[in-house]
Amino acid sequence: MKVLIVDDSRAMRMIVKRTLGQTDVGKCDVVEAENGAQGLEQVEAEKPDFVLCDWNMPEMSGIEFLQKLRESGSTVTFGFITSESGENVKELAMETGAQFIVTKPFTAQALNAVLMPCVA
Amino acid sequence: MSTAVLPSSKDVTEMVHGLLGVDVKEVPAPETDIYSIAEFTNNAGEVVGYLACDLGTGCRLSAGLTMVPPGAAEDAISSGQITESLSQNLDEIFNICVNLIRGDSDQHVGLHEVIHGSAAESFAARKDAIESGDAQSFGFEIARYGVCKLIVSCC
Repeated sequence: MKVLIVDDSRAMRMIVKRTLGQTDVGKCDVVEAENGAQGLEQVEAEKPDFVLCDWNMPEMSGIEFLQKLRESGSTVTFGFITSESGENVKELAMETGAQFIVTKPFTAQALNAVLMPCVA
Repeated sequence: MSTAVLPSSKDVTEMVHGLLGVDVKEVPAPETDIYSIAEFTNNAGEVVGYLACDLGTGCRLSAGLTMVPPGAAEDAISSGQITESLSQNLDEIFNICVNLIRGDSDQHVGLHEVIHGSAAESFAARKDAIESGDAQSFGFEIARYGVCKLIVSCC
């Protein structure tokens, strides 16, 4: 299983990676990107099984990244991990093609609950 | 105008526990000086609230976020200023803690700016805004890292 973590915070990428290791997903190869633009390149180059992405990032936001991914025909499993918690944000994420959205701070149990149905 | 509401002590300790993944218990807030200030604004650019903490809290929270040993946090505290890597962690902590400011409001609130140290531009003005606003101090003890205090202020 290969996962792409996209977040402009190095600390948060580390936390997501650590928490991912505490889920039932199993051993993952993790690749990282600092923004949506880098994320697009990494999806093309690395062909991840799923993407865990922040919402607010410089250069290209998470939702712009997802829009471009879906426009390109990519069906990669995509979830947001974000401090955004508004209903309008959740609706936009799902309408654009995200499979789930997790609000920071998050637990391994919360991540597990949304990831397992997607990767099983 | 702002519709932000102050969080409860439970909200704060649960937020810190969620961030660090370690035991956090409520304790009386110690008397400390503000060192780091995060300003939050809504979509209209209006300031809706602040989070603030002393140097010790900033270093301990930041170290705990990425499991930096407590000794490194204490070294930074002794030096009198937060390190670059710890300040990056603290920025992320403030970014996530937006939900302590947002409350139940539907308005979009985001982190606008973080400043560290009393020498920073506009530090005094923002400190005044915090102290003159609807502010509350929350004391908590993070396992292995020690006692901290977070100030939440809604405008």
